[in-house]
Amino acid sequence: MLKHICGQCNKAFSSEKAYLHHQCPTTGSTPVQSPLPQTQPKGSKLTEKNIVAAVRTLRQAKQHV
Amino acid sequence: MAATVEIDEQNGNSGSPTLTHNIGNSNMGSTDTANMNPTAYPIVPGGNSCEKWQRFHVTDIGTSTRINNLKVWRSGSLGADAIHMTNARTSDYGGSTYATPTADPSTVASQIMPTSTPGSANLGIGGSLSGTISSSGYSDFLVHQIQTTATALAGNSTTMNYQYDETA
Ligand SMILES: [Zn+2]
Repeated sequence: MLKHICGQCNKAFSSEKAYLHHQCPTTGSTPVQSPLPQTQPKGSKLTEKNIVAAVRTLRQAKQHV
Repeated sequence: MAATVEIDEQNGNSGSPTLTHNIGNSNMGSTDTANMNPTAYPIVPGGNSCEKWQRFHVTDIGTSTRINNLKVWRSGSLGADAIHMTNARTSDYGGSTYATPTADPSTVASQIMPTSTPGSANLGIGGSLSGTISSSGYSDFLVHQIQTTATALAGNSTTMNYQYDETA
């Protein structure tokens, strides 16, 4: 069983997931920054087409709520 | 958003190891611990450092699509009578399975650590130099060790470099 420690704040965690989601008091950040919504296209540039598609998907998702 | 990549170090018995994430240094010394105080655990001249077992860890790919082309090397003077050995290599590569770090001469770190940027990847992902990480994940283990002779002098420091390509 692998134990996990944060090398910056020295806290120990029982799982990798617990480490990834801790807000580190030393760095001030969380190893997993921000889970992206699934409708957001991957890549650093959003083309207009992708934005339209994302908005459409979001609208469809809302309609199903 | 750029990917979040950290360097992790694994220590301890292979049956119950500890993984220290986002290490603050790669100090080499006589004991098996991350973020080591080298003054407390010096390498005895004629002896070796304990092996380091480290990995690149992509904790968040962000808006990028892949991380690959991993290169490791050292820069700065190591001083005479000391050599820096590694498992990193640009050819005949095979990933290394974690074994309890040892201060005996490493059988895994059999190559000289490069002293300038390698021309191509020298650390793999998934056992291959052409491997990629496209979400979150780890590289193969980088194993390295300092080996000295009896006439080695204290006081040298060298810098480890860890480089990767990030594709948007
Ligand atoms: Zn922390």
